[in-house]
Amino acid sequence: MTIELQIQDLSKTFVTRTGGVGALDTISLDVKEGEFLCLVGPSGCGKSTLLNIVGGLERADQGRIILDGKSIDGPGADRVVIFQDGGLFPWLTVVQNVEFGLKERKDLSKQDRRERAEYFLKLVHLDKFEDAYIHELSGGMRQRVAIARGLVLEPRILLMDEPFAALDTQTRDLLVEELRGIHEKLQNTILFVTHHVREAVHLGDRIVLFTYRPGRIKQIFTVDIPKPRDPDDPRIGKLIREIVDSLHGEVEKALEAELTLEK
Amino acid sequence: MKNKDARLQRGLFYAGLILVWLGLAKAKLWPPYLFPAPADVLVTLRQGFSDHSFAIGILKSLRRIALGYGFSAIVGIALGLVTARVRWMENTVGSLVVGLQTLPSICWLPAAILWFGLSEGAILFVVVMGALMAISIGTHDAVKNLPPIYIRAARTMGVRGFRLYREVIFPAALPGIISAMKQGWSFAWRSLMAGELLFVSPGLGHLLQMGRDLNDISLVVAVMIVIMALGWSVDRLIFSALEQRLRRQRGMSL
Repeated sequence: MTIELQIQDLSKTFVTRTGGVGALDTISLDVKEGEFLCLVGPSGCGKSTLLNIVGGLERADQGRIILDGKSIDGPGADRVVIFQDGGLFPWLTVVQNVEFGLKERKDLSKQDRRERAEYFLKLVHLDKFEDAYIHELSGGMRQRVAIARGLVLEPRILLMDEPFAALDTQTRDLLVEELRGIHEKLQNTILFVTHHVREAVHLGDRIVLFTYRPGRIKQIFTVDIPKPRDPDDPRIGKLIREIVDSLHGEVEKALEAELTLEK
Repeated sequence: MKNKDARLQRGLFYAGLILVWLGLAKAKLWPPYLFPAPADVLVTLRQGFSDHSFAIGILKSLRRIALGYGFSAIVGIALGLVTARVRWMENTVGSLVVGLQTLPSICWLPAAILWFGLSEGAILFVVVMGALMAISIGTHDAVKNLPPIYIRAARTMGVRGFRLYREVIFPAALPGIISAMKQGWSFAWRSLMAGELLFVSPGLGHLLQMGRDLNDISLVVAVMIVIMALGWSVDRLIFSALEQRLRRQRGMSL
């Protein structure tokens, strides 16, 4: 497989959601074409920040992001971010939300746009809801719309920032399985941030584990188990334990830092 | 069902109010040339509408408000959007707008008369100074309070520049912008009435002044009722209806 995205010596200090100061420290990582790559680490380690930098929504202090051999600067539809809370537009219907980004493509007619939007809505099983407004949908349905809205732009790489974290367990399992199906069908490149190890092991071709402050790559796990993966497969259980053990120390450090901060 | 209840409550309330008014007038606490009875005001209202003097006043005032408010809304929204998104504009023009807002718009009338003479221009100027700042500040605040996720989502889809304003920031801030327009409307209406009061030209404010000159208290009260009714109707029928529609579409209605 060819290398599609290169993250080279990337560093960045940033303010975390809880007000602390986090840092990514000289991260280098290659993402292969068609790969499903999961980023796992304790909260505050900078995995979401890294995703946003790749998406062009934030700037690195140092280092470069190279997509298909070209250095990138700023956001673009070739690297679409899918957010945890969707970020759907409540003043538009479902299909209008999905079409929204396509309007930037001047080569597409109105009808082309609608057809593409409908194709991807069908892919996420929401074709019956295309005229609904966002508030009429459940949390899981909203994330499906968000995924369709990203996929319709046919990005080189889809950047997913804990997209299922706000959902209940059942909906989450369903969507994880659907996402696996979509990836199998489209063979697109996905960078997926999660703190849910089971999710990462179910989906990922490789899993990158981050340390806590400064955020560095601690270990990269390659998952050679063919998909779809059986959760009862002993190799899955073994891998999950291995990752959780490795993650455990980092989570502890994160907790300790949080508690001392509160004092 | 609920609508019917509200209408019943309102009807009873106003009927009660008129009864109190009637009682006070009957009690003759004040001479009738200072405190008119409801029936006198009703007669004046009927007369005013039948001899077209009210209609002419209303049309004159509405024409002025349409021009002055229309201009204020367009410029005020544009100004609010720009000051909210461009830092140096916020520091400069934005601060001036806040300063001007603290000045009651009628204070502009002396200057406006010197600049424009006793003309339509002077009144329009006062109306614009009354509404423009409120709309601009309201729009600015609406944009400032937007959840950043909308803009981030648009940017990741490659949307930039004018389209980001027109199709993301503006619709996202629309509920706040409508509130700003509603507030701007009431400022414009008050400014217009104040301006017309001090101005020798047909219009509702002028009718009010005429009531004073003729020592006709029922004319004064009748015109006040017309002014309130017009202001209320625009608020309810246009702005509140718009707000409600937006809330329903976005799932924010209670």
